[in-house]
Amino acid sequence: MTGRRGAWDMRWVRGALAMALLAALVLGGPTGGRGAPARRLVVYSAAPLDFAEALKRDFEAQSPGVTVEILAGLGAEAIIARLDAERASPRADIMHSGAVFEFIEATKKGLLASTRPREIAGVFPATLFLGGSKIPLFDAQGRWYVWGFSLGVIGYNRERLAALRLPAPRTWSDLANPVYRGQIVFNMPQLSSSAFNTIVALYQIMGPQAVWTYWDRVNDNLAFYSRSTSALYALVARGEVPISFGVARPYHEGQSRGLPVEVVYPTEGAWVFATAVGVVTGAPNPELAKEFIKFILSPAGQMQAANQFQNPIRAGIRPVTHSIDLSIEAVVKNVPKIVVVDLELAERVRGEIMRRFDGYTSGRAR
Amino acid sequence: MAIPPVGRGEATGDSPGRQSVRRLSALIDPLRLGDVLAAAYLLAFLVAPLGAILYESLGLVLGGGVRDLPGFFGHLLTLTRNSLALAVVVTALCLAIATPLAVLATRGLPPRSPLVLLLTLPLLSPPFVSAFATILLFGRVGVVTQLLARAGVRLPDIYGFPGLVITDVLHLTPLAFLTIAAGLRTVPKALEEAAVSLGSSPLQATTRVALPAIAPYVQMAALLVFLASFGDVGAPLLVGGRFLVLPAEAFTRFLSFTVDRRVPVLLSAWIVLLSGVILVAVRTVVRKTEILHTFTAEHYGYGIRRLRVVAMVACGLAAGLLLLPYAAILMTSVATIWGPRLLPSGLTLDHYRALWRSVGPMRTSLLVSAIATPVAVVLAVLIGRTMRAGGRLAAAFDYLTLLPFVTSGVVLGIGLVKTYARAETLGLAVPVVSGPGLLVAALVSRRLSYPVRVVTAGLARIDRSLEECSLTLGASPATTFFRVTLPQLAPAIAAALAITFIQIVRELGATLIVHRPGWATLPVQIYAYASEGALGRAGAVSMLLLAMVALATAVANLDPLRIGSRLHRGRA
Repeated sequence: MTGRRGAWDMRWVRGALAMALLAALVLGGPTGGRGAPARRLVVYSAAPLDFAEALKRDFEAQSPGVTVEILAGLGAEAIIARLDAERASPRADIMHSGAVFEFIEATKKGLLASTRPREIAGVFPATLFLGGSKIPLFDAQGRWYVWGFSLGVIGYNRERLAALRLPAPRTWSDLANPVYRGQIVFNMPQLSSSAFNTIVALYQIMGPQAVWTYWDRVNDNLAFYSRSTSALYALVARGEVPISFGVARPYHEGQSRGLPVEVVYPTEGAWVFATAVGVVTGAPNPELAKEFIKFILSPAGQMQAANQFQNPIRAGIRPVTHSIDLSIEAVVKNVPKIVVVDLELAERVRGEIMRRFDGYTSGRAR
Repeated sequence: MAIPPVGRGEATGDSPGRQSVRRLSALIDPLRLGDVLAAAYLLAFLVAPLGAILYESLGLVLGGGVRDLPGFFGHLLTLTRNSLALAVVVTALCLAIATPLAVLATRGLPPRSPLVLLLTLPLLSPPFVSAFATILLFGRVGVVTQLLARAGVRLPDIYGFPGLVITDVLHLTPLAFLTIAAGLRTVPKALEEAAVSLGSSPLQATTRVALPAIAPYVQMAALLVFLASFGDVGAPLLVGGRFLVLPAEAFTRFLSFTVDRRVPVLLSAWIVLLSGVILVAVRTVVRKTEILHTFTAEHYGYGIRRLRVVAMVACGLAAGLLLLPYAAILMTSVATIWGPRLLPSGLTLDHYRALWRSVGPMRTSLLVSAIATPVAVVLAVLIGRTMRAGGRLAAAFDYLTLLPFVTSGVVLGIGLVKTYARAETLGLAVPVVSGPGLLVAALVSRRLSYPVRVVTAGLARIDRSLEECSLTLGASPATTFFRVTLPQLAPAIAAALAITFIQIVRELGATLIVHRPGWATLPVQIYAYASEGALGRAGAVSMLLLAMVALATAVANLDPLRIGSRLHRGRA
């Protein structure tokens, strides 16, 4: 009986192996496995999947014969780690999306190639004046180009706050009010660039001494520090923790889906989280990569940005897929004050911020 | 008693020429070739990539020193203490739940009871999403929390140690259950029969005869749960709160360039070191309690009706509890908006209508799993055979195959990309590693521990006397292996194929780093949606992945013998 079972099992094993081989032959490879198309652009994108897919679709439509292969789903940090690992034999042409701060880091590592800003972003000035502040749009060597921005804001779940009978916060200072004890969640600045930028912006707004006195009180109100950047927004949308602060894009996206979330532009100033794009050093198709950046900065590309809840850098661009006006004109009208993060200051105080937050997040002495 | 193979001993009196021929033929012995192949694979796709990371790390640490990292070692101590405390508590709870359940299921329910199948389902849960399910159920506005609040019961905040314990116990109890139940099925019927006939109660026969007989299985279950909990990254990221653990800290800091680069390096090295110590300790214990009986036995059924009822109720309740996260994921996948209220504000099939976006990732998942699974199992057979034979190579294989179990997939992925990008520039690239082959290699390396453990357990059950007969009758070790050992190993290989497929198709960490554009798998898509907060879509894709895995499990559970008999009857 055992022998007969063994024989059957062997057939079963052989059958499984044959099935595997058959599956490999019949299914064939995805796009990457079927012969290289005439022109192929590889984009590593930290943008949401829908946005990345829309960019692919639109750029392919306007560039016959071009296939865009997008690697999405990774954060900017993971993209930098991957580009660094592939440095010896680069596979990507474009690094897309992520904070300017992260692009500067990639530049320092030599991962982004120089281009001519006049050729790629000729219609744009070097800086965008907004709310009395200047947003740099590209670096002098053309290694990165800002294509959109989002504002650093306070977000809250109105249903949950109402259930807890708490008022909505209006200013950064409100977050230090003891009534919000255990009702705020924040990312770790050691792991999240938006959290780090928030702290630098608060540093600019409050000054080097007052900012830590303020944070000691906010820290007492935090339910916890989230280790997953994106989970922060999901937690607020669900109402698990009613208040957080970060970039406005996910809150706007939630609003468009009907979630009970609201955005507050703090009166002391909403900070600017500019997001960029750049050509990878040693890119297999550098010319096509430059065309892609030109497309992203074009009205059509900027429209896609607005559709995906990013504020466009071109004037007069409004989304067509939702009704939230994110145009430059709307920002000027609705946002009381804008703070552009000083990147030099950010670099200078980075060590101090990391050291302080290693203490805050591990529960050690402040 | 080991009998030296006929015709292969040191040929005393052979001429030097004949000895050379013998040595040459020994070199191309298929079994030795298998050893070389397995060792080469592990060197190329496990040792080299992890070595590359460690080498770079060592330079970083030696170059920068560690004296200017104030408070780091205190922090490391806290992380270690937290990780060990979590793994110990989760292991204890899983064993406490799984052991009586396994006894009830194997002694009170038929082997193919749907309840047993339901109890194992949580093992298939996609990564990352199950931690979200914990929040949806037990969070501050979770369904269970709200229902209990209405009954006047207030649950404590889950963010921190409680949330991690809940997530891990719900997710890992089935792993312990399966391992212990497999052990209980090997206890010879005669042992318990004798105990009962000598006046022992069923409880006494179980606790004093059956459970001591399966101590190695319980230890193996404890090891698997301990390592899985110790190495988990997803749950600490979402529900860890202020309770920090080692792997999540290493994972997040590895990807963050805003921190001191020495921190993730030191953390990763410490995890590998700690895992090594744990593995050595466990291996020593396991060696002391080697499985002695090697025969398949019909297990004892106590024939008590009340036991059957108790088994059904207990297993039903446990299955209901363990499947709660699935219910939450299913609910999310059909929810329009799910805010702080008890239930979603409406139901929709929109997330399922959007599944056409998952056709590409599904095809990739199927394709790479279909290739990686048999590769992993073939390697596992080669490695298992060597491990059974013993020796230094066996010890090396043992440690190396357990290493990916406790190492972050992201670290392995980065190591692989670094190693083979460098190899390409040196002109060493071959299609296997320059194309999607690297993804297959990453998946095989990451999940090799599973088929190796299953095959090793299968080999331990094979009666060596049959092989010794074959060798005595003049068959070479290779012939003996292929014609005597391998057919007996077939059930274990079939199980290994199923388990490996399930593990490979769910893999995320290494895939995230290694996959090439156009080659995203379903877990990558789920992770991307969940990261964006699109939980409905993540839920729908998770259900698709679950359906695929459940189908694979169902196929693997088909009894080929019964199907064969039916086909035979049909033809007659």
